[in-house]
Amino acid sequence: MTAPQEPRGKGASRPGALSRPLLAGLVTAGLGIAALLLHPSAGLLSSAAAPPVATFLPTVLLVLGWGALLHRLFQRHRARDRQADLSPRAERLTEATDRLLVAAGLVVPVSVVCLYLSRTRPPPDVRPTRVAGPVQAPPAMPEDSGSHLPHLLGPILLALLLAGAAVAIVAALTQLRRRPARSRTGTEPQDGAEAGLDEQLAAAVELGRRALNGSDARAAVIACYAAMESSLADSGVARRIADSPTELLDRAVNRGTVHRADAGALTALFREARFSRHPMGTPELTRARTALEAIATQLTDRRSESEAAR
Amino acid sequence: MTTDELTPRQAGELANEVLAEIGRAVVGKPEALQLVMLGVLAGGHVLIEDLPGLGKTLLARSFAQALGLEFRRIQFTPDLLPSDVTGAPFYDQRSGEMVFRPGPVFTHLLLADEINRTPPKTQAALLEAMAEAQVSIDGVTRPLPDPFVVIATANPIEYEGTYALPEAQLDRFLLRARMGYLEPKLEASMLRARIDRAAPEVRLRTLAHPEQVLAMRAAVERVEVAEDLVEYVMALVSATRADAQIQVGASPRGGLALVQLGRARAMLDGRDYLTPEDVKAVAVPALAHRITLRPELWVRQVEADDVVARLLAEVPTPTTVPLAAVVR
Repeated sequence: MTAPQEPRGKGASRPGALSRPLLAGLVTAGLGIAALLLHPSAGLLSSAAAPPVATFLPTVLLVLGWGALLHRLFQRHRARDRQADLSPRAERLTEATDRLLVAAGLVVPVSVVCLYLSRTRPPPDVRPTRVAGPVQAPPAMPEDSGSHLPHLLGPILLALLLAGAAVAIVAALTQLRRRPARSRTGTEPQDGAEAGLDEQLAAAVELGRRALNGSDARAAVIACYAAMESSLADSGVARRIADSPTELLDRAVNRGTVHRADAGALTALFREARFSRHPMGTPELTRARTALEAIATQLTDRRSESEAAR
Repeated sequence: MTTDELTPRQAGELANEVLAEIGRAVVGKPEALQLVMLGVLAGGHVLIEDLPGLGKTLLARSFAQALGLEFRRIQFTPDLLPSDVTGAPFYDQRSGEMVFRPGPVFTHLLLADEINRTPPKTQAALLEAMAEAQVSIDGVTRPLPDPFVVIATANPIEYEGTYALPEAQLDRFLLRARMGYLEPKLEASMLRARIDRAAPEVRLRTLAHPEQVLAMRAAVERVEVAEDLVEYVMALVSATRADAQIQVGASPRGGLALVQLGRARAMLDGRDYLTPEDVKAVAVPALAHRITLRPELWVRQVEADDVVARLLAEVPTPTTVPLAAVVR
């Protein structure tokens, strides 16, 4: 019986490998559009304005490029999180970063489009007309202020988006401050998760006890450790493919899943059973039973403590 | 404790006593001390690479003193000649014959201080001595005392007035250790200890003698190595040859070094069997100086230590249940 192992091959180490061709395509297209924009449309001395499509396409490409960049960043972020064994504070920071990335992914493209719209509005025609004959007073401007609205639309939208982003950041910071207090007080779901974890460990202890009843001490100790490793994997501390037994133990202890002394004793016995060739017998079985009983006692104590707390 | 034969546990206890004694003189460097001890136990030579003034010479002298080994020191300088290292024949006027005068290499523990301050020709004079434990001069081969250990110190390559050690010579060092600066608190306590004892150095007790060092080395050979772990070591060495960042991977000597250092570490831990932890703990000191990185990595300031550490995090360790048992 082997515990599930997290694959960490070459492919896993390069999560964004597939998005590289996409990124390269975007860059090439951007350069092409830039070249088109620089190309004079009617001779070297011409000052003809670029057609609207020439400014719209870079805007769209910019938006798409931004999206691709954020997607890649998000993927990397997620891949790193999956591998790392994070502290609660680091987990909260990671969560906030994820949300900010999503928010930025929406806010920036919309802002760019708004800016584009506000700049492409035709300016009002204020050129004086040549009139032959006596000079006449200029016609009075209509008092309707509704004509200014299109010019103000872009800045208003931008201001609204900036305000929204500020609110999102404040909300994320507030959540960061509140979460530790909530976790300190302890809520029912957390207790439930702990209870589930204890049950899994208790099942593993029972499996280990059964394994230790066998006559082959070496196989019994290995089976007992494998049961513990399997339960650790169920509780979220899976053995990585390049982990040594001590590294797995360290991660489990750091997460508070097991006590170092008891699980450490079982790990040391496992290493002896797995990697030595000298005979193993009753003394080793007794030590394994003692370590296992200590883990069982620890689980019982934890369970009674959590029940008393309720 | 008899000298003839030591069990791995007995040898480990003696080695730990020696380490504790040396720790009185070399303060705050348990990792470096342990690595040097592993090199001595595994029958190899040690390269200590770091800046001047970090206690490299003191460390080597302390080992010689605590292990009861004859100690010589060569200060490598740009004008040092190969014969200054190995010795040379000279004309004896009384007998009218050429007589060989042994060089400082004829000792148990040789401190090659600042080895990269001398040109490659003189560095190469140590090659045969380090690899074969013998010196050939004028067609005569002379064996060196047993045990023979070279502890070489080197300044970082970029340091002014240094010559890079050739790859062939680097490969002959079983491991490379680094000292590093002391923590400020430890450095302050070292200064206070120096003021209190009113003497330049701590006088260490001699806890062993050359025969006991040989017995400890023999005990390393009794540390068991499971088949899975041999394959794991091979996988690590092969990974250095296939990695995209490495131009030249570790030699077969690197694999041997990994196994022997791992066994010595197991013995120091009081065990008579090797574990994946032992292999992982000594992989960087045993392999990093044997690999050559691609030149472009110099710009990115990626070091060989980092690359080997990354490989350690990628190469699979032996499975929990032996594969043979799963197949059955």
